[in-house]
Amino acid sequence: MSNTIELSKVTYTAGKSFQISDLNLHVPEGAIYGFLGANGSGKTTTIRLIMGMLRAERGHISVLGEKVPNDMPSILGRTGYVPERPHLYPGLTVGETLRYHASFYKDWDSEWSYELVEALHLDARRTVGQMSKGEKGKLVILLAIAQRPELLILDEPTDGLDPVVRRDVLTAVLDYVSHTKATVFISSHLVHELERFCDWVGVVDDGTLVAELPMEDFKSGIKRLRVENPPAETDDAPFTVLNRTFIDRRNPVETWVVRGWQDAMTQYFERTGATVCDVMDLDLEEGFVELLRSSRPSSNGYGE
Amino acid sequence: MFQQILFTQWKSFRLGLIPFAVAAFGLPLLAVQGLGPVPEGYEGARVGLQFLFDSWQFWLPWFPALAVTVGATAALNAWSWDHKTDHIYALSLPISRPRYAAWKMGAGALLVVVPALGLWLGALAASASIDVPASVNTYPTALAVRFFLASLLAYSVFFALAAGTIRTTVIVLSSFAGLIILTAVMTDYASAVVPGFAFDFSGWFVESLVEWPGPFEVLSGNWSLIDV
Repeated sequence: MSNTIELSKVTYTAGKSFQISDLNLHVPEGAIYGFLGANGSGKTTTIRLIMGMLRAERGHISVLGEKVPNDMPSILGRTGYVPERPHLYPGLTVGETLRYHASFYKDWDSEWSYELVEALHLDARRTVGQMSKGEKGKLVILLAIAQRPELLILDEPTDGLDPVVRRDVLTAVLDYVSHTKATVFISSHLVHELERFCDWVGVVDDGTLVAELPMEDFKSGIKRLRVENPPAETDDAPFTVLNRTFIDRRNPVETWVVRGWQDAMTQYFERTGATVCDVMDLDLEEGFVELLRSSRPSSNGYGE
Repeated sequence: MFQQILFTQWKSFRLGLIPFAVAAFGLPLLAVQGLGPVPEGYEGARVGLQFLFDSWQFWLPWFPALAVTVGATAALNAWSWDHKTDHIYALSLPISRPRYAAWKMGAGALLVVVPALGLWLGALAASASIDVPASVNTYPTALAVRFFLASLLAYSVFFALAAGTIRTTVIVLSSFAGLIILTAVMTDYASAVVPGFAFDFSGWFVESLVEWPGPFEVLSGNWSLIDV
């Protein structure tokens, strides 16, 4: 399977305090890829690099098989983009915005765009400046999908929207994707939102990719274990220990959060004289938090 | 695409454009009649013409001033919605940056035609409202073309400045101001150090910009409606 988006060792410095360094990212064709990260972790910067709005200092970016930034007009003609904040011209009405936007896209579906205006309960005569945040959110989604893109890049598309609008927006995106083979790259810090429909997930923290894997592996591979008589060292463990926490300092029992877990791995504990008492599933949000915690330099790996 | 870019600029600028067009229409009329009826002592065709020239001279600085204001406002307007949206929308459109800027500039330049047309009509009306001797002619079209070119020049300069960041604009404008100050200081220093030194560096610098073949000559050239 080829990759719709590919970043290879991309480095970009924003100001004095933030850097994206050696970022590698692979978004498979046809995937719905959730790009997770805390606020300020580099999600929007990464998206702007992919969109050619920022220029990487080092590394290579390719989108839809074309090079960024050399082939940008062609890439952007095949990409629907929803930015972090609505960005439309405030003095234009919805109808004028549709006509303006349509003039740039050869595959613009005018008839469908007006059907979407109805479906999303937008008033074509209203100016963008008079619209609520939710209405603007719906309009940018409409603009992104009515151009029939091969790739949708959504930067926190539902951030700050009420639950009804959020559902409308996500439904519009999923409807579109279900009828096409479009790839979706969606960033969010709302983990539970992505859990429902993403099939790939990438986690970024402080400009560095912490994890990138299929959602199933992410959900099933991160476990919380209760371990009696745990070994001091875990270098030879067949899984990655994200976090270790003493339950009670007087008793030799710890809670471990591990990644890459499989049932057969209990043998590892038997070899080291330890016992696994419980294996618990973590939901995506807990897994996400543990991943971030383990990736940060201040973490000592013992949760203390 | 260009039509839509033109439409967005028209929509954002139309309320500003109308007063400019009205002002441009009225200015030539004011300039020929702005000092009121020919007063006592100006009787006769020759002195009447002199009165007309005096009146025109009085109003003359307003023509380039209005042209620069029109151009600058049109340029700032051309980028205003993009600035408001941090250029994110423009950068997400499938068009190369130079082409987008070129079409945006072209659209704004077309809008600048509207006040120039207003001035042309005003100049035609002003020409029709005055009696001039046979040896003297009126040049309403030349005046309107000069007005358009001056507006276009101001539009181009401010369009380029407004396209960049505030930092870039500050650097360019301060460099320009710095050059003027530097030449003034050089003149003062040279005349203090070298006895009999009379060359005016700052005067030369400004003249080389606003006099032929300087880039801003159109602003300082012949703005007359009436000429031989």
